[in-house]
Amino acid sequence: MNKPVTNDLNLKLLLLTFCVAMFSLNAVADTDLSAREIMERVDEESRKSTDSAFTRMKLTTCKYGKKDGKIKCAEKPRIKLVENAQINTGIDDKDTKSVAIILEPASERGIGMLSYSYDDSDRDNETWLYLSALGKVKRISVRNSDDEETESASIFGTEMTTEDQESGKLDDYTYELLEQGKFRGREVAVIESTPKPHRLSKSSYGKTQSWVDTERFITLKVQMFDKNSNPIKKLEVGKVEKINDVWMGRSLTFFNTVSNRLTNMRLEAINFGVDIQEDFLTQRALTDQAFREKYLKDLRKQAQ
Amino acid sequence: MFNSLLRQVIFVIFGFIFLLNVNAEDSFFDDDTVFDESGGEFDEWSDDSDVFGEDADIEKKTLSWLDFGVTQKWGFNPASDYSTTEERTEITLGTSGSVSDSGYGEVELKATQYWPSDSNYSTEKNDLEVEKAFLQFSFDDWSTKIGKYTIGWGELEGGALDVVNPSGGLTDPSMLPQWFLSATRYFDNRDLSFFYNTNPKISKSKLLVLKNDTYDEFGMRYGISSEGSDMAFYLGQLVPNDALINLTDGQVYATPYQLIGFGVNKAFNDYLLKFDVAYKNNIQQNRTGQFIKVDRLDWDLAFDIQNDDRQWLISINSQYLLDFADDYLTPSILGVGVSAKRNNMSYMASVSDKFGDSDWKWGLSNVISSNNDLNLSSATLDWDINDQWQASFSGTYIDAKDNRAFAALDDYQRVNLEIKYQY
Repeated sequence: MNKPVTNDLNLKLLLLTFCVAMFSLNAVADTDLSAREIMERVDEESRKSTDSAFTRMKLTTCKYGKKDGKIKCAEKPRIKLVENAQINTGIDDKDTKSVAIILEPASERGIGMLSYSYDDSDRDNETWLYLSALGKVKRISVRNSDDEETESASIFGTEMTTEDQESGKLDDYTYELLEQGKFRGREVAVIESTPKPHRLSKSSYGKTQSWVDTERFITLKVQMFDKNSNPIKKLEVGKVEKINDVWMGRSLTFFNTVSNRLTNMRLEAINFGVDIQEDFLTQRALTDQAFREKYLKDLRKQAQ
Repeated sequence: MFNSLLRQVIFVIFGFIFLLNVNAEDSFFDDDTVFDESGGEFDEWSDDSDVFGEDADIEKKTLSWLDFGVTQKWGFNPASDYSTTEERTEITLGTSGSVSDSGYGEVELKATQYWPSDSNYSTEKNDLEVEKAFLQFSFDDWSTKIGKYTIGWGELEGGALDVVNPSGGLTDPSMLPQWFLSATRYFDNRDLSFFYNTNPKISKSKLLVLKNDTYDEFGMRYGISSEGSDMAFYLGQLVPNDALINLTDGQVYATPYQLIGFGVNKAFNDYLLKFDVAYKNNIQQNRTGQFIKVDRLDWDLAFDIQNDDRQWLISINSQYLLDFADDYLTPSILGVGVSAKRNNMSYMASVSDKFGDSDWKWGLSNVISSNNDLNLSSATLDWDINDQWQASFSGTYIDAKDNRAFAALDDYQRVNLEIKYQY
C-alpha cells in the first residue's frame, strides 16, 4: 500500500542550490566580484555539476539535542534511501527536470516523484507523484502563494523544503556582501540574499546568509532567517570533495533550530555526465514501472 | 478452539515484533541528551561530526525480496456499549522486481482472519486473496500491463470519472484492485491508454444474487500534460460498481452503461483546481412499476489546497438526470423505494495536518451526500511510530434522514483502531 508521502515532496535536485560548485582556475582568494556576481558563479557552476547527474542519497532525520557539547540525535532517526536522475534543460540550460524514486523504507518503496523547476520567476515549478493505491499520477500543488503565514512544503517529511532546493530565479533577490575572511580554513564571502517584495510574499525566509567559498564557488553554510530576522534554520555543508573535477559537499545537514530537528542528506553515490534522455523525465517514469526499472538499471550500469 | 489458538499465535508474533522494536529503541535513546530551546552555536561543526552513530545504518533485511505486513483491526459501536463490530487480522506477503530485461512485476497476497466478534464472522471466517498481482512490459513507446491492480480515472477520487475500480463502500473509500489487461502508447506529453476487464467486480449484499449475466468492461483514456495543467478525455463501456435493486422484481442488476468524459486540473498558486464531467448513457433507474435506463450528467469540482503540512480538500459533486419523471424512485438500503431527485448534490470538506513536528497526524472530514439525505463526519488520528510501525485511530458518525434512502444508516457510530507492522 502506498503511504502518502505527505505533502509534497519536491525532490528536485537535491544537489542544486547548495551542493555543488566547480573549481575555478582563475579564482582569487579575496574576490573582486560583487555579491550578485558571486551568487551567479555559484548558480552557474552548480548547474554544470548537476547536469545529467544520477545520484543515490540517504536522507536521515531526527530530533536533536546536545550531549557533552556535541550535537546528537535524541531518537532513532528515520532513514530514506532515494535515487535521483536529473538534467538541465530549457533556455541556457537553466531549467531542470528530475525524477526521484524511494528505495527504502519498504513501506514507501517505489514511490516516485517527477519535478520540473524553472529559472524564470514567472513560471511555477511543477511536481507529480504516482499513487499506486489510486492507480494514477497526481499533480502536487507547490507553494507559490502570497500568503505570508504559510511555509513551503517539506520534502519526504524531512527538514528540507521545496524552497531550500530552488535554483535560479536570481533576479528575485538583492545581494549584499557582508564580509570576507577565513571560514574553516577557506576564503569565503558572506553574502546576504534578501527576497524582493514579490518574492518575499512567496518565501518562508526574510533573508538568508551564505558562506561562499570564493575559490571553489561552493556554499559551505547557509543561515536562514524568518521575516522578523530571527534565525530559524541552518544548513551545514560537509565532506567537501572534488569528484570528476567537481567540488561538492557530500553531506548536507539542515538544522531546524525552532523544532530542533535535523535532516542529513548524504550522497552515497553520484555520477555526472550520465546519458539521461529527456524522454525518461516524464510522467511515464512514474506510471510505467517496467520502463523505469529498465532505465534505472541502465543508469546504474553507467554509474559503476 | 482453533481460532483461539491462532489468535494467540498472532498476538505472540505481534508482541515479539513489538518487543524487538522497543529493545532496539532502548539502545539509541539517551536520557542525557538535552534539547536546545533556541538555535545553538554549531561553529565547531565538522565533516566528522557523528550525529547519528550506528543508527544511521539501514538495517539489512534477512529476506530482502520479501515484503511482510501484519495489520490488526478493531471496530466498536459506541451506540451499543462499545460492542465489538470488527476484529480481524490481516497478513500480507509480497514481492516486486524486474522480470527479464523489459518487464516488471509485483505480487501481494492477503490472508484475513475474522474473529468471532467480527460482524463478518457469521458468513466468512477467513479469506485468502490476491490483493495485487501484475506483470508490466515496456517496448519502445508502448507499455502493457496484465494482472490485478487499480486504474484511476478522473481528477477527484470518488468523483464523476473515478468509476473503474469499486471502493470499499461509504465508510471505506479505498479502491479494490481488479483484473485488467491494459496498454498505453506514450507520445510527447501525451498518452493514449486502453483497458479491458472480462469480469468486473460488483459490490452487492452477500444475500442477493446478481440477476444479469456478467458483461465486459473496457475503456480508453487520452491524457495531455502541459505546463501548470493536465487534462484527459475518457470513453468507455462500464459496469456499475454497485448493483442496483429492481424494486419491481426484487432482484439486483448491474448492466453496462456508456461514458464520455473529460477531466482537467490546473495549478493556481498553492492550490489545485480539479474538474471532471461525464455523460453517462443507459444508467439503471427505478420508477414506479418499471426498471428503466436513463441518461445522466455527472460533474465535480474540487480544490486541493496545501499549506505546509496542512492539506485541505473541498469538493462539490453533482449527478443530474437528463430524463426525469415524478415517479422515479431511489432504493433505500433496505430495498424500499423513496422518491428520486433530479439533481443529486454532494459536498465534501476534509483537512489533515501534523501536530507540530511530531509523528502524529490528524484529519477531519465531512460529507453531505444526496441533497443532505446523509451527513457523514469522521476524525482520524495517525501515529507514524517508526518506519515499520503505524497506528491509526478513527471515529465515524452518520446522521441520515429517516424517510430517505440512507435511513438505515441514521445514528451510525463507529470507533476504529488499527495497528500495522511492515517489514
